[in-house]
This record gives sequence, C-alpha cells and structure tokens, in this order.
Amino acid sequence: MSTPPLVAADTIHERVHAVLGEKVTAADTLRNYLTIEVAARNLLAVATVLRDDAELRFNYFGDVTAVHWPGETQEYEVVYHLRSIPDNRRIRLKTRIAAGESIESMAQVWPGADWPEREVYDLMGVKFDNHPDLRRILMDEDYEYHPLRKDFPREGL
Amino acid sequence: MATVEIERIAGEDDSGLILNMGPQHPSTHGVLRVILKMDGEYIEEAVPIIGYLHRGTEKIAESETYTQILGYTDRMDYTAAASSNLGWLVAVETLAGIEVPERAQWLRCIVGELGRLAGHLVWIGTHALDIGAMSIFLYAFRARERVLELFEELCGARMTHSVMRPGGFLEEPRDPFYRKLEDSLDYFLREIDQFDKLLSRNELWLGRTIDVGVISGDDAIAMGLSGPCLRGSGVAWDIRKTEPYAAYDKVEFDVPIGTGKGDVFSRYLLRIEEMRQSVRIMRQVTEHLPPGPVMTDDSRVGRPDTPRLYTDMEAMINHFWMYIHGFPVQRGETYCAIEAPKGELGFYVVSDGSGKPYRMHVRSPSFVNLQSLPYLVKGRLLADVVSVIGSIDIVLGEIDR
Repeated sequence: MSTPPLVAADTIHERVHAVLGEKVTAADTLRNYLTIEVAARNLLAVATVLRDDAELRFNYFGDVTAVHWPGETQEYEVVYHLRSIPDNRRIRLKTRIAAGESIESMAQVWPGADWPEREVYDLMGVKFDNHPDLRRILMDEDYEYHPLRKDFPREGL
Repeated sequence: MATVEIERIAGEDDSGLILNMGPQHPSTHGVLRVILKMDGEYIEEAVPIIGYLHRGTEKIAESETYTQILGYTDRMDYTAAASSNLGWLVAVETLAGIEVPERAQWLRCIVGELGRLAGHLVWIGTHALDIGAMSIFLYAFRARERVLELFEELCGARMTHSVMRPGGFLEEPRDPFYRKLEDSLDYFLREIDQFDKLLSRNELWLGRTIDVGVISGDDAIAMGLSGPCLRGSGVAWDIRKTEPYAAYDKVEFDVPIGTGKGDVFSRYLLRIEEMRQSVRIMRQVTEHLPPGPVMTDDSRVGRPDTPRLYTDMEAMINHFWMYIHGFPVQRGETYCAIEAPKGELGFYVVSDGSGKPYRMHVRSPSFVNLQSLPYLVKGRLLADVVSVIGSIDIVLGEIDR
C-alpha cells in the first residue's frame, strides 16, 4: 500500500464548509493545517459529520488538549486534532467553554478519546459529559487541584 | 492510590480474585501498575494505573525557554531520547519559521534512526526477557552499547544527549563519528539477523506470541493506536511517509506491517524489519550527505561566532538575550507529529509572542497505545499480559511525563 500525499488544507476547507455551513464560526488554513472553531453545543454533531462524511472520513482521533485563558469570558479552549488514516487528511477542531461548563465527550464518536480526555479533565479540570469513565489519570485520586490551570503556581502551593 | 478501582472491579459480591501487578513488577517496564480481576488463570478485567512518574513536564515548559525545554524532552522517552528531541524541534521550528540547512536535515535522519535502533533494541531485549528468552537480553544490550558509543562520539553524552538545537546542530560532528557509523552499519545488520534467527522460528516464542493480544486494523484506528501497534494490524501508516520531516522524503525505505494480523508476533516481526530499514536509511544518508553548514544563519537562534562575541557589542547583547530570555516566537499555534519508535509523537505548542511557550502539550504514543491494554488482554491468560505489555512497547517516562 502506497501512502497518499497529505491533502491540502484548502481542499478540506471547501468540503468542511459545504457540509457544516454555519456551524463553523471561524476557520483558517495557516501552515497548511485547517483549523475550525465551533460552538460547544454543536460539538457532537460536528464530530459525527466529520467522521461519517464520505469525502472527509476523519476516522482517527489524534489528540485532545485544553488551553487556559484566564480573564476571558470563555476561559477554556479545548483543541482536538483529527486525522483521516486512509486518505491522509488532518484537521484541528477548537471550541471554547466558560468555567464550570462541561462539554460532550468525543469518546462517543472515537473510543480512542477515552484516556486523552481523562488527562484533560485531570490536569485542566474540563468536564466531559457521557464519558465512559471520567476519573483522574495522572494525579492521585484525592488530589484537589488542576495543575495546568494558569492560576496554579509552579512552585510553593 | 487506586482504592476506587479495586473496589469497583471487585464488585458487590466480591467474587473472583483481585491481583495487583506492579508498580514494582519487572515486566511492567518501569512503574506501570495493572489491577487484574481473575477468573482462575483467566483475566476478566484489567485496569492500568499510571501516574507514578508524573513530573509535570507540560507545566514546567511554560516557564522555560524553547531551547531549555529540549532537555526535558530527553526525559520523556528515555530509551530513544533522540526521537523526542526531534519531535520538539520540528514543532518549534515550524512555529517560529526557522529554516534548517540541508545538511542538518540529513543528519537528523541519522540521529532519528539511531534513536529508533536504541529504542527497539531495549524493546527486543526486555520483551524477550519477559517471555523467557534470557540470552537475547544480553545480545540486545551489547548491540545497544554500540549505538550509545556512537552517540558518545557525536556529542559526548550517551542517553540524554540533546545533540540538536532549534535551527540545526550545535556543531558539525567530528570525523570519527562518520567512520565509526559506517563501520557499525554491517554490525547492526548481523545482530538483527541473529535476533531473527533465535526467535522467528523458535517454537516457544511462536507459542507465546501468535494469536495473543489481537486487534484488528479498524479497531486499532478507532482506539487511536499508532506506530508499530497500528502497523502490526495491517495499516501501513508511517508519519515519515505521510507528513515527511527532516530528509525522510529524500531517502528510500519500506513500511513493514509484519504479518498484518495484529497479534504480538506481527508487532515483533515488523519491529525487527524496521531496524533493518533504519540501517538502510542511515546507509543512504552517509552516502548522500550534502556539504554545507549544520546550523542556520538565522540570527534569532544562531549562536554568534566566538571571535565576534569578544569584539562586537551587538553580538554580545544578542548572545546574552538569547540565552536568558530565549528567542521570541511569533504568536500562534502548531501541532507537529513525528514517527517516534513507539508511534505518533505530537507536540502542540501555543505561543504568545515571548521566548517561552504559553502552552505546550505532548501527545505521547505510549500513553494512547496503553489504553488498549484492557481490550487486548480480556479473556486471556495471566502470562499473556506480560507479552502484550512488552509488545505495546511502553515507556513510562513518556506516558506520565
């Protein structure tokens, strides 16, 4: 099996725009990496379309992480990296939530999201709804803090 | 730790035997702990517990410069530190827009493949030792010693070397390195053949590996597996081919898939072949290495020449600024992945325009691959857990970070 070359971000953007339409609130193709932003309430629907659309087929869950932007109204930015394995496409999916809000778990769409989402919950405190087993993973089970938040000091707790 | 897990899998009726394996068990390759619910000799449920080696690398990275973080990446996959270094540098250079000279790109292939050899030789040694083939362990570490000697010749350090820098290499490797490398390539091939002869038709080995820990290609993709765990199931996915970095688009190599059945034996077979491909890549690089500098002349990251440093005020200021505050990286974000010995090693970096990253996240291959362990061992014998852990090839330094 020969590997297909990486599909250009612009090509994916056209198709994503066609199937998702207004659900995408922002998009850019900097460094040949398509980044789209969606509202948290649409996340599960968007993920299902990305996985099931015959011309997109994002069947591989690469990674999830979160970035903390204190001082903004929606202070947690959750970032997903998805791939399409046979077709060699890649996309970055972003969404924002405010403190105390939760987000739908992607483990419902890609089972591989299980541990990566537990890590985000453990270190950043973002809660995932309908996750199969949302527990701390790296820190101790009775640990009280979420160390990757910006208000967590590097030393001298 | 883990009292919740033990209570949960023990259940209400408290039937079955709960067996604790690790974190000091020698065949868990570090500090992995697995809690097993047994039905006689068979496994009903397995729960991996990790985090014993968590050092907060991602948090520390937020207050270090891009160059300083390089030293922390060594300590993630410590069996193949070169690969972790390379993954970080590819991400930083992409985000900062630094051009790496041609010669350095080719040399990075050598360093990357030496790292892969070092990683795979630890894997074959410990995996065989776990299953009971004790002599392989000594042969593998003897061969690995040669890899470490090459690293020593390259930069003075053996295990955690950080030999590369943003923009290329700190210095051109000295001649003895190239001579020794060329002498070693045939030696590596002979050693790999020896493992192949000792194991690939060994009946005990076949009995312990064939049809053990099976996962289909579709399931492997759904679970997010990468590297040999994905390829062993017949999916020829290698980031060196799909998103080439360094000079991997200019060298020829095959992507082995073992038997494609997704069992422990398939993953074993393809890693053996991968080591041969590593030697093939290194041979091509030594033959076609282009002349030229190994460090970029980009003044943001390039170290000024030492004579200039003592005579030119600007060079002195630049030097101090670079080493104290780091080089500034434009605002933005990037996710860059490389094919590490264990699979897709990705770095997600967010910059706020300063000399230190605002956020750094590691997508470590062992971490994601390990989540398939409960699936792979369910219903199997206790002894199979050991061979499955060995075949996933985990490094706890990378899982816990």
